[in-house]
Amino acid sequence: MPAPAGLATLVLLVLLAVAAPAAAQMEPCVGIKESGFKILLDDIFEAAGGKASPLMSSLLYRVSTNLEQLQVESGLPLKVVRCAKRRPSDPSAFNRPLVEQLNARQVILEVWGTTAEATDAAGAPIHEAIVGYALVPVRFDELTLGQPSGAFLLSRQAKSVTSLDELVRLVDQSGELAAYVAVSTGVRLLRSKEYDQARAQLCRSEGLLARVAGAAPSTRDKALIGYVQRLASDVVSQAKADPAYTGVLKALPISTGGCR
Amino acid sequence: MISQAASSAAVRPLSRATAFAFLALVVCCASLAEAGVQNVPCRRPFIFPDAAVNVVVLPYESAPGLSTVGGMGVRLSGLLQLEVLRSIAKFGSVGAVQMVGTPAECDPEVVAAKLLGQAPGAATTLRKGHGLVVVWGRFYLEGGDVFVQAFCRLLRSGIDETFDLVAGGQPFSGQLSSQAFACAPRKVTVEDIRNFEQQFARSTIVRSAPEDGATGVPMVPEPLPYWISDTRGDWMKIDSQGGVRGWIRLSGARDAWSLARWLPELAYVEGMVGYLRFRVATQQASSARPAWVEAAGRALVEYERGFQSQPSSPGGAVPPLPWRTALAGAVQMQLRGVLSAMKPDATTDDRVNAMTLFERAAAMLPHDANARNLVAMMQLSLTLGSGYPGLSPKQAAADLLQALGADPGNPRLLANLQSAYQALLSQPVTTTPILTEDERRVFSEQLAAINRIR
Repeated sequence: MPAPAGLATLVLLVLLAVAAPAAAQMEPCVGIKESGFKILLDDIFEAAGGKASPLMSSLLYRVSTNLEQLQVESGLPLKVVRCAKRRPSDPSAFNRPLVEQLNARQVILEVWGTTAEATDAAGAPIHEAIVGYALVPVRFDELTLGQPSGAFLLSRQAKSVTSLDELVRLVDQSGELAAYVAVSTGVRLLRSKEYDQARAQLCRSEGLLARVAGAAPSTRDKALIGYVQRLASDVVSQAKADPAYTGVLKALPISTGGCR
Repeated sequence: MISQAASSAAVRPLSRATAFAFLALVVCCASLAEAGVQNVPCRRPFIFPDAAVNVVVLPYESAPGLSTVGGMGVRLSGLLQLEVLRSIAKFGSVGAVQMVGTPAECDPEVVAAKLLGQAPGAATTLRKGHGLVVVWGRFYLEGGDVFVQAFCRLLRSGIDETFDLVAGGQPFSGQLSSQAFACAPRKVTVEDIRNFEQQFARSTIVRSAPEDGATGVPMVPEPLPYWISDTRGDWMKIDSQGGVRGWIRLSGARDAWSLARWLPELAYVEGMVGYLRFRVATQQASSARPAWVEAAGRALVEYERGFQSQPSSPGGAVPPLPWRTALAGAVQMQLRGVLSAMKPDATTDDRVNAMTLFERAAAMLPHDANARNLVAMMQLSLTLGSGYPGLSPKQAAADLLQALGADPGNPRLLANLQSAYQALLSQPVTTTPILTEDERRVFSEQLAAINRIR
C-alpha cells in the first residue's frame, strides 16, 4: 500500500512550528539522507509579524490529506520527509548549490507554506495562503537554461472566511501536487536514462498540468506544459539513439509528437 | 458509555477481558461468515479467514496536528462497520471488522501488510484469492463543522486484479486505473454530527426485539465476534457464542438522517465487496451468482447518482469542491464495466455497456494508459470475429499503440498489442479483407518487433 507509515507523525510536527512565528530560514533537513525519491515538507507557518490566520488550519489539513492522497494514488514509491524549522524565504533560496545537493539526494519536490493577513489592490483586507513549490529537477534545468520556472509560489486569497467549504476548496493542492511530482519524477528518470518510466511520468504530467491550468493557463503554466511536451518528445529521440536501449520506444513506431 | 470505552481502547494496552475475548475470537469464531467484530486492535489485526471477502474499517483520524473530535473517529468507524456489514450480508461469506489503535498502529499500509502475511503480527491472515476492502479516513474540525475524507483500497490476496478476455482467439488483459484512491472531502454540519451521535447511541444498543421500545443492553467494547442471524427492515439480529444476542437498529432510507446519505462511500464499499465476491467465486470456480453482479452494480450506480444530484457550483470565485475525485469516479465505472462484461451469459449489449463505461472512465483520466487499454480491449472484443457497427479493430490496435507510446513500460499494453496484431493477421482473407496488403506488411513487421522484445 502506498501510504507510508509515519506520515501522520511527520505532518504533526508541522504544527509545532506554527505556534512560534519566525523569520524565514533554511535549516538542513535531517531525513534527506534516506534513499529513494523524496518530497520534503517544510514548515507551514504564519508570515513573520502577522497574526494567526484563519487559513492556517485549512492549509494544514489540505496539505496533509493531499500528500496522503498523492501517496495512495500515484503508484510511485515516494517518501515524505518532514523538515522541521526549514523555512525558505522565497524561491530564490533554491540556488545552484542547494539544488545540486537536493538533486543528489533524490529530492524531487520541496513544499512549504505561509499564511498572512494582507490587503488587495484596493486596500481591502484579505486572508492569504501561499504554498511554495520547488520542483528540484526542473529548477536544476532553470538554473542552466533559464527556463521554465522550477521554484515558485502559489497564492490563494479570500476576502472573508465565513465558509469552511470555501477555505478548504481554496487551499486544495491535490491537483498541483500530483502534477508537479509527475513532472519532477519524469525529468529525474530521463536524466538516468530510464526512458520508459520517464515517458510515462512526463505524459502523465502533461495531462495533470493541463487539468490544473484549466481553460486559461497562466504564462508559467504554459511554459511548464511546453517544457514537459519537449521532454516527452526528447525521451523518444534519446531512447531511439541510445544503443543500450532496446525497448518499445525503439522497437515500435512511437511518434516523437504528443502523448495522446 | 460505549464511545468512551471504544475511544480509550485506541490507546491502552489489551485488558485481560479484551485479551480473553480476542483469544476466543481467533480460536472459536474465525470461521464465521456474514460476521462482524468491533474494537479489534490494529496492532494484532484480524479478519474472518473463511469469508470470501472482508471489509476492514480503520478509525477515522483527525488530520495530523489538528483538533481532535473526541473519539468521534472511533465511533464513526464502528457505525460504518455495522452499516457495511448489513449492506454486504446479501453477498454471503463476508466479514466486517472495525479496528482501534493509535495512528501508527492503524496505518493502512501496516495493517494490510500484516493481513496479507507480508509482515508478522496478524491474528489471522487473508487466504490466497480472498478479497479485502480497507477503508480509512481523515477529519478536520473547525468551528463546529467537520470535514471528512475517506480512502479506500480493494484487493485479492496473491492475485493480480486483472480483467481478462479472449477475442479473435487471442488473450487480452487489463487492469483498473488504481486499486486505492481517495474520495472527495465532505463537509459535515453540526446537525449531521448531532444526528450521528444519536444514531450511534441507538445502533449500539442490542434490543430483545426489533422495536425501539424494547429492552436492550449496550454492545460490549471487547472484540467479541457476532454473526447476522436475521434482518427485518432496518433491524439486524446479531448472535454470538455466549455473548451479545439481539436486535440492532441501523439507519434506514426512511429516516430523516442516514449514514448512507452522509457518507455515500458506503455504497461504494458495498459495490466493491460485491465486485470482489463475484471475482473470488469466479476464480475459485464456485457458483458466482448473477444477483451479486446486479447488487454490486446497483450500489455503484447509487454512488454515481449521488454525484449527479450535486449542484454543479455553489457560485462565487472559488471553484466548487469536487463531490468525487476523478480516480474514484473512474474506478467506479471500471468496476461496473468489468462486472457487466464478466457476468454469466453476458450479451453483446452487456459488452457494449462495459465499453461505454470504460470510455467514460478514460474520459475522466485521459492521461491513464490502463484506462485506455480497457477501452481498446472491449473494442477488440466487440469487433474481432462478428464485428460491430462503427468500431474498427484496426483503430483499436492503433489506440493501443498510442497508449503504449505514453506508457511504454506497461507490460499489459504491449501484450495486448501483440495479441491484437496476431488476431488481425490471422483473420481469413475474404472478398472484403480487414487489412490491406500494406497494412498486413506493417503489422507483421511490428509484430515481429514485439516478439523480439517480449
